[in-house]
Amino acid sequence: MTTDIDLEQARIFLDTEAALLDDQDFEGWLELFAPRCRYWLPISEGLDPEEELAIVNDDRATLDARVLRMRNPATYSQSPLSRTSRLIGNVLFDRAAPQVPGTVAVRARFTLAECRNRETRMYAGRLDHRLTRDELGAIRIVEKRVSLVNRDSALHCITFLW
Amino acid sequence: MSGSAPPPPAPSPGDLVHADRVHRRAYTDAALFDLEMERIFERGWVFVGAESEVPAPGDYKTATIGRVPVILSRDKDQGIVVLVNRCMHRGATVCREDYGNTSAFKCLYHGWTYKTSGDLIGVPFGGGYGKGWDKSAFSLRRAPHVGSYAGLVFASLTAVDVDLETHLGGARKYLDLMRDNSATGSLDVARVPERYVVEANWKLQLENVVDGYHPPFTHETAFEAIAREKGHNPATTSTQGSGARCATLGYGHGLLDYSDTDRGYSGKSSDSALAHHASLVERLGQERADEVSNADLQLLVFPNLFVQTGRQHLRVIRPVSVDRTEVYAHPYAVPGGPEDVNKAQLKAIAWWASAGGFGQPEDLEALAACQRGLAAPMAEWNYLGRGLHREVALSELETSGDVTDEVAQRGMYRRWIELMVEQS
Repeated sequence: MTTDIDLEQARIFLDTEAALLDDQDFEGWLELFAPRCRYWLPISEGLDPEEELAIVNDDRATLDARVLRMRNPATYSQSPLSRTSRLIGNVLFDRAAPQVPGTVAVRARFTLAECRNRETRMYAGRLDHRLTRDELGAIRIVEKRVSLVNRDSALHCITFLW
Repeated sequence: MSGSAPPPPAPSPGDLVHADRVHRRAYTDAALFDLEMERIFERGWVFVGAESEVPAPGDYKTATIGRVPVILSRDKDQGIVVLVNRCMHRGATVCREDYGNTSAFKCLYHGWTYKTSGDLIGVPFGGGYGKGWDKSAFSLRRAPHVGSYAGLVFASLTAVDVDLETHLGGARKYLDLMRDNSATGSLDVARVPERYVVEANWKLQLENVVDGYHPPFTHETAFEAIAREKGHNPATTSTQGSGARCATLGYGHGLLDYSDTDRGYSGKSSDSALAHHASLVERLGQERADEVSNADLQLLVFPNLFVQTGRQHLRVIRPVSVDRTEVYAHPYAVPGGPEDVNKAQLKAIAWWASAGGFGQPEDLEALAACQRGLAAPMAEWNYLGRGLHREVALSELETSGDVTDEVAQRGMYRRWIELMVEQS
């Protein structure tokens, strides 16, 4: 079964997603995810979130809670919120990813600058999206994996959304 | 050219700690930090790693003891040894991986090669040092004292004043609860940890792991998330009078004991947990099995290990500089324990004890805020007097108070003074 998402559509989708995050429209971003989904940041190989320890490993319910938490000023690690600016590039279909009917695997690279409390940090890494179309034809995220180049370093607070 | 003034000498440690307060310079003075590394970390017992991280002959992991890079190595003949990770020729670290398996450590610079026991076995191009040169004098330096308890390996780089069991003091009673819960008597600690940076002095991180006063405030939104999911807000068991305790266990060790509360962590009533409990009853008898299953502990083993049984993980606290600390948080499985509970820890640790989690980031924020505030003169002291009037000695080693009291922190600093002043 093929999923009707071409590379240009995938690229626009990823850029749109990035814009929502950088614009701090977290609720709008959340709507991009499928009702059953995973959002995760691996520490090691990034092969199996059920078997590996990860930096973040959210199912849909946890992701909902994460976004809700961002809006509460008592979430001190995001109060004030991080300002972010990210560039997405090198967007390709991931031919090496397992075939899952009804989905496409898209790989990309990102660089991201984050500023909070007047301190700026740079991050970079690989993005892996598994995308599908919902019953209305909208593109939805089934899985989003964010593999930081420094994932095995001791990290500062990274509770902003990736 | 006028020379810059020499750095001010470290303040005298004895002036910085009183029974109920700690001076801000204990957290901010770089010369004092060096003294701490020398007197606390590079002398006396320090946690290095778990036996389960190096299960097979030839397995190793690298770690630090204070400022000293070390290798926890399982030699096929000599068992577990702790080696100083520094070539005896020109100083390079001979092992540059986090963990692995090898038959020898070969220096990348001039090829000097050491057995996994640390013995020097290879020096390229023989005869370069003349007749009678004693190769054995150039073996990797080895920690003279290495001991293991419940599968946790501790070492000392120099002489020790007490053996490991004595050093563990009142913490043994609680490590024994963890040990007895395991079919093998050890915790099965994962090799890959969460790693995060605390922009604060290492002692602020130590104080924090046995601080039962802050959770309802610092972790308000994490607790709300738990309450929404489980219908039970952990804040209700983290308040004064909840039945939870804060204790000091001698030798600087500390404890938050939530055993007499129900914090709502998963597992205790699941089928697999009940089956595990039945196996404990068979092995240990009803009374001990109940005690073991009921244990909900947050244990600080001074100066660098923290173990939490509710979310099964341990944390290694690594001082980097006076205002920077790194923490490595390793999940562990309980051998023979319920498989679903063991597996669920991976997600539970990511959820709480990670740089992107729902719990740890607020602690990181709080501790960084403390470090910033402590930089300022004017107010000189941190006050750790909470519950001083109501703490109760339970044994020669253990003094206990309300979970919100600063009993463990005061005990920590009593040990700090012993090591920094009395034994110097």
